[in-house]
Amino acid sequence: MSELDEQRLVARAQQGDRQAFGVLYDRYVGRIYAYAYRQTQDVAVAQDITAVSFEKALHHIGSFSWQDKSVVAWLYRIAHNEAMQHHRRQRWLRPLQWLQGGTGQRGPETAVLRHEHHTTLHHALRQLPKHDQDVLTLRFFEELTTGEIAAVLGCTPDNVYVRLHRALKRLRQQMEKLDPAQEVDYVA
Amino acid sequence: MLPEQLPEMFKPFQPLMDELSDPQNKPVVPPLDATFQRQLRAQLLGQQTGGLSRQAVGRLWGFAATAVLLIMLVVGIGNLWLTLARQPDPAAVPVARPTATVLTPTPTLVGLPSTLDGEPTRVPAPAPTLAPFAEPLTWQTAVSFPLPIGDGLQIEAMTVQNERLVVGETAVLTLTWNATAFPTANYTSFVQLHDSSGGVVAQADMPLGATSEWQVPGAVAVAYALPLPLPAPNPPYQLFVGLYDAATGQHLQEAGADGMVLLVQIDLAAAVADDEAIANCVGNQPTADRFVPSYPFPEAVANSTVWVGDENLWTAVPLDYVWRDLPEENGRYSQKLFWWSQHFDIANEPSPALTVTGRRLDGDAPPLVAPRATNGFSADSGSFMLVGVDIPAAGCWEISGTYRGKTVSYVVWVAEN
Repeated sequence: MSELDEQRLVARAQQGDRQAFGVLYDRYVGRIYAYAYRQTQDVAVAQDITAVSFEKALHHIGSFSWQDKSVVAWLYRIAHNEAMQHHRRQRWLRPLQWLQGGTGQRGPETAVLRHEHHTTLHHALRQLPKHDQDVLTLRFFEELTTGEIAAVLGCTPDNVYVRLHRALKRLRQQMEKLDPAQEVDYVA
Repeated sequence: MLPEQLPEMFKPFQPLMDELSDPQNKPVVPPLDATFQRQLRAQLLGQQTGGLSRQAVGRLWGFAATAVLLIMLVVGIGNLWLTLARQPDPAAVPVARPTATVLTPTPTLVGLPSTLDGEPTRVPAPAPTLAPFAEPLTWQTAVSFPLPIGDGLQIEAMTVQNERLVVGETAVLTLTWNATAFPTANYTSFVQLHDSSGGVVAQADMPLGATSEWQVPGAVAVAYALPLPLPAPNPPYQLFVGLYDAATGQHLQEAGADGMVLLVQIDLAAAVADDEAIANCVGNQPTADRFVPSYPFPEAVANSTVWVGDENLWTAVPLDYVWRDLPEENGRYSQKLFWWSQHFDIANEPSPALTVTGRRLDGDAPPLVAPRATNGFSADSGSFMLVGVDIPAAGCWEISGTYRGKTVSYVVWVAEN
């Protein structure tokens, strides 16, 4: 879907065309749910966040403006805020669980190496401050552009570079700390 | 596949970014339940724009319950406070309580004790502006108490909240007023700070309420907030106190010349003598010129801090050039130093070529340890260079920063914890 198509869809949704909103929903519900799940590690909570995010999007689509952001960034921002609210409510109940994953499928040896590295990588990610995790998730797992990340986090693109640079630096340090013998470029 | 290339500064992280971008390394997400997806779609497309979801209704109920609880809590605390405030003190001699309502003079009331009706008010002190270097000031009481002011009113005691006074900050003092005879008018009290030329450099007025209805004896404590002015006026300073009729504005001449009584002598020399080591240390600054950066950097910096340097390199130092309460471990202190330059390019300088050195001036100590600088950005102060330094000992230190051929030095006192 081109940006022009998306603009038309948004314009129609802003005029009350539910089917147009339905197209946007179909396009992004999976990504928003995945993002919510990565933030909460709980299917039920991720579903709640997804539902509330799209309800809010529907109710506020009239006030959406294309200035400086895309629809997907706007949806991510809503979901991000919902996830933050969830974390604030849960802060005293349980520690944040984040990023647990499986292994690759490249054959036995690679799989073992990859599993070890995968574990180290994700363990290191979990050790990072929440704001570092956020920017890395949005960039590498959600694959948003710098401008979109800036819209989600409410900062400038330059600031996204700074945050990303710091987060990568801290991630590398954390990985070296967890596994000093392992170099950064471990698996070909 | 990532949506765009990152700038050159990310090149050292390429292997790590490749790993993060590898789909194999993506955290596994359970598939979205098709039934949920279908139901949510139907709900969204079927509901009216003004409708509320189950979650939204639940959330509204939660907000309502929280609001009711908060209101009940505030009402309960208010009732308790009123009940306690109205408890008669059997040991007290009957005194007509001043019916004064708290006015809002400038500077404003900082706090009133329970001897006055009405809830004590706390008002943030006025924010100091950019200030030149100034020595800390100390109080030196010039009179003994009780101090008669006039028309039966006297000051029984004075307390000062600030441990040390620094220009640009707000001094808070409390005077305890008493009546030894029936005052004939309702008075407003004032305190004035004069410099050596007699000019008024700060003033605070506080109403004493219906003093004409005061019975004797009785005591009322009144707090005054005095913003110590910038730039520093001519020392030494003198603090006067006086009264004027709240109705006519006439000064109570009985109080003394011009209706004022000298209350406190604030002697800069005394402060220097008290803290001679600090004064000797920070009194002669090498190249630390005051500096106001041009746009987009902010003209003013945080409270009690000033910029030094020029557009090629500048930093922030405390107004009195003293670092207090630094994190300390085994006698070594750590401090974060922030540096700015118009030539600094945050996008291309992840590790800026800023070198920071330090040497102790008042004794032997190993040199200050400063690692390679890093970069940073904040909405308030723009992009900056940051160095975390390790200071081997407390005392007098000369700190120097060099960036692109420009060096800025200043002398700072590292206070022992």
